[in-house]
Amino acid sequence: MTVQQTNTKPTVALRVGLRSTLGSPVLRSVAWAIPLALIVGLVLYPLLQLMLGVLDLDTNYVVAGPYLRVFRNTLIYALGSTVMALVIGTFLAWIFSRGDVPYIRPARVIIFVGFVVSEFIYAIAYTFLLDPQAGYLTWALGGHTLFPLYSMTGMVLITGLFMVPQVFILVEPALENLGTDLEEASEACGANRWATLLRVHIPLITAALAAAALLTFLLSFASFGIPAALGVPNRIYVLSTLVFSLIRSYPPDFTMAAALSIPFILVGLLATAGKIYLLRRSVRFRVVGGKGKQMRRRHMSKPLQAMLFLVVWVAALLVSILPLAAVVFISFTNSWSRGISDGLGLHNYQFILFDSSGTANMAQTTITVTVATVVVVTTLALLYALYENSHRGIVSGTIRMIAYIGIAVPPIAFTIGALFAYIKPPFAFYGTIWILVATYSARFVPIATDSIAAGLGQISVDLREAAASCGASSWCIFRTVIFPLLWPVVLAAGMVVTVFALREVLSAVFLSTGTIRMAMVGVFDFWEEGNLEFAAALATLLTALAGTAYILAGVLGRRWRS
Amino acid sequence: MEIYLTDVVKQYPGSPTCAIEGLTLTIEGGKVTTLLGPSGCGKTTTLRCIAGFEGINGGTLRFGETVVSDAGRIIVEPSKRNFGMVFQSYALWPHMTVMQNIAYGLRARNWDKARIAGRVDKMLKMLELSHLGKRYPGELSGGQQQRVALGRALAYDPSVLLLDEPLANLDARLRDQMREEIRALYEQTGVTMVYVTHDQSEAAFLSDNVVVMNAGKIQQNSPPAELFDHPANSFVARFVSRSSVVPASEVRRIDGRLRVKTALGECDLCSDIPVDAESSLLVSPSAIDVLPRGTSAAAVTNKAALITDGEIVRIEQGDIAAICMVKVNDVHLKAHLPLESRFSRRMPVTLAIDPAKCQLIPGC
Ligand SMILES: Nc1ncnc2c1ncn2[C@@H]1O[C@H](COP(=O)(O)OP(=O)(O)OP(=O)(O)O)[C@@H](O)[C@H]1O
Ligand SMILES: [Mg+2]
Repeated sequence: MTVQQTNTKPTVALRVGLRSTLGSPVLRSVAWAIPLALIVGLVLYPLLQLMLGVLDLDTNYVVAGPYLRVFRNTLIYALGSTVMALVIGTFLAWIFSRGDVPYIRPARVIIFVGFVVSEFIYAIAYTFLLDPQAGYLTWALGGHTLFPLYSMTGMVLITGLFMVPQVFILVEPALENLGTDLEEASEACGANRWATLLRVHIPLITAALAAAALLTFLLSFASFGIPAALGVPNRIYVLSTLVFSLIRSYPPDFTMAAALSIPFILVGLLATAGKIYLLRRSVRFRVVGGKGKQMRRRHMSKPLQAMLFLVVWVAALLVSILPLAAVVFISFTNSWSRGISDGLGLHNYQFILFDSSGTANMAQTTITVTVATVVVVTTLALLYALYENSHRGIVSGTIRMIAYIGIAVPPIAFTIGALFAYIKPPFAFYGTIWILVATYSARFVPIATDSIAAGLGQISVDLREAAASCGASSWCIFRTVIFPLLWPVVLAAGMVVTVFALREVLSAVFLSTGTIRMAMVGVFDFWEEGNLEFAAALATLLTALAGTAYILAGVLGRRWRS
Repeated sequence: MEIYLTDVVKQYPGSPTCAIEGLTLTIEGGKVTTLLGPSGCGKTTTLRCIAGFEGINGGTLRFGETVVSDAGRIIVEPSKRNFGMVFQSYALWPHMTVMQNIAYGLRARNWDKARIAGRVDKMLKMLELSHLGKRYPGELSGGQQQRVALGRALAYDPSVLLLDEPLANLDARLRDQMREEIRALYEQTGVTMVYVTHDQSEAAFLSDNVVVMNAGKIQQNSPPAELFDHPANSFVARFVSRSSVVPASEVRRIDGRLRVKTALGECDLCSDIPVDAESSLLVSPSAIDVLPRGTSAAAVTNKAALITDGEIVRIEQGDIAAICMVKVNDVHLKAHLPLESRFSRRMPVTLAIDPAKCQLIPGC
């Protein structure tokens, strides 16, 4: 999520080269303008339509009691799960980067795996485990429940777990980048380990924590699968589920749905502003001083080791192992609530793959939408990164900001905007795959832009200048120097986008229509019909797919770095 | 406060060799002890074991009467050992001002506000940093950062101050200035200091005691003067002294004298040290007279001198005298040249070496 720090050196070579190849300035501007306008349009058009849609609304209606309660619920829900994920994720990151604890390395990989698991899988898995009537754990505990699953507590706890890998991925590198002598100095001064964690580590990784907090907060806002599965049965609504019910009601109340999204746009923008402020502040506190930083693992006493070992493995269990194992297990059962006693088999897979009428269509839609999104996103991101690299200035800065709106605006609001935008001409995409491609692209473009721009920034300017000084044209430099070095980054970004596209629940469910259904919608529909077993089987297949993409992204990323 | 290391062994997990091996050492209270040695010899490791950042695999470590670490256990946590530490990177907290950095240890000790303010003020004055108290470390020069690091480590009257190559990041002039300041601070506070360096002149200037280490073992532990005059073995001699070390190929005892055969020739030493299997002749520059080639033995006043021929390979012009490197049968010897001499590079010369100023030391 580094916005400002990526490469600060403009590449003279590239700029000179591009000028000469693309000929006249007019032609050149037009060539650049197309992808840039596309990025801007994809992000801004739905939001504009959303604003217009709200205009014909009776405002008194919105401040009415039930809606206020939903706002409050949503805030509690998003804040609660963010805090929980931040605390657990940061603590885990600290253990892995600082702890001298044996046998925990595999748990790190396992927690990473949790990243590809969709929130829906969490909902299914924890229903299976904790359902007050039929849950396996409830049964194992002799009918006792640990906490009420179908409640705000249940929603916050499960969503908090779901967000842990996200926080971990953002915070761990920040801690790894912090030399250990800063904390040793603190202990030398007489502060114990925990005081050091609070007064030295945490303030110094504020930027990463802020980025993680913001992202988690916004993702929790957008979270639809878990509130739908755990809240709605007890009539606990958050914004996403309320908006969904408004759209599904007859007649659908689009205006109200739009109006309910507006405050969340504000919250999203505010949170982003807060993050940027914290980031600026933390840049001031660059670590100073001499010879390279030292990374040393501190000696830990046996009881502490044992405690941290336990923390790590329980986290791995709750975050990844249990949800995945539960879903895979259910996918083989005849009836989840009866488990093994009813026999295991492949019939769920048989049904969803061969017998179910919608499968072929769903597979086709999922593949087309995912591939199209990846192509659109990586192409736009690559073009934007190249543009930014050679035209650093107001235009590129503004576009980057606009692209970020795609992240800052809670996906629920953005998705409603997309409904408004693409339901009518000139872009009547509703009912086609293009509504999904356009929405996914707008939402995922910043993710790819970040990593590609960072990758481009790291390709040494010298390399490019050397090529230019040999007389290579810009196209030639791109082909012979930049692309060979950059393609693993582009592909890795593509893989990450694949994961996001396959994982996505909210936009998929809101924007799908009768014939155009993403696989995740299939999971949702099975769930709604009470077919937990089919839902589990389909979810298992999707996770395997997303997992493969994620591993490929990791391998490519590593290959590039070496 | 005294610190006692007894047979301390430290082996990093996954490493086949010990970083320190059977180290026994007493660090005397109120004195400056320097750990000196080449890169990788275990100086930092020793310091970190004393601090408690590393556990030890064998032996015991005591602060005064208290055992703070023994094999496999850290008995007293670093935060309870009451030491100050200055890191090579300074490790100043970038998010705290100079004052907050210095006050940190006092706050950890729960001093009350007024007392903290008074002490911080005193430290700032002592280090001449009073005008910079409100700045962040990123806004200070290297030397100022260094002083803040010292102030932070000394503010709470630690019973020992540990410094790990504190001057390594400074440029030459600042380094000279800072080492004077460190010595002055020591004299003001009288704190026990353990100072790690690989620079012998720093060690000589600062310390009461120098511990020379190599490959995790102590080679010599003595005051600096002793170190230069009587290195314990050829390793110490090569590392610290200005004298040349010439391996002896044969040492025999003849009528209470030692006959030493080296690449320079044979000479007799009056020495009653026991003869090791491997030993070397330590030839100090002042033992060597450089004479024009062809000077006959008869012309040399010292009748016991060892006469040999060589060639000057390098001349370094100093303030008081020039130093030259003379090559004799593949051995390089350092010798003084008179200031106004006619010698120049590549010139063949004859050397007269006074055995009375040579020593036999173990090791080759
Ligand atoms: N964390 C570690 N893990 C494994 N081996 C280590 C570790 N730290 C140091 N060593 C090894 O222990 C030995 C002693 O290292 P140490 O850092 O004490 O050397 P040093 O004398 O401080 O050297 P320098 O002057 O370069 O700082 C070295 O061989 C080093 O490779
Ligand atoms: Mg060291």
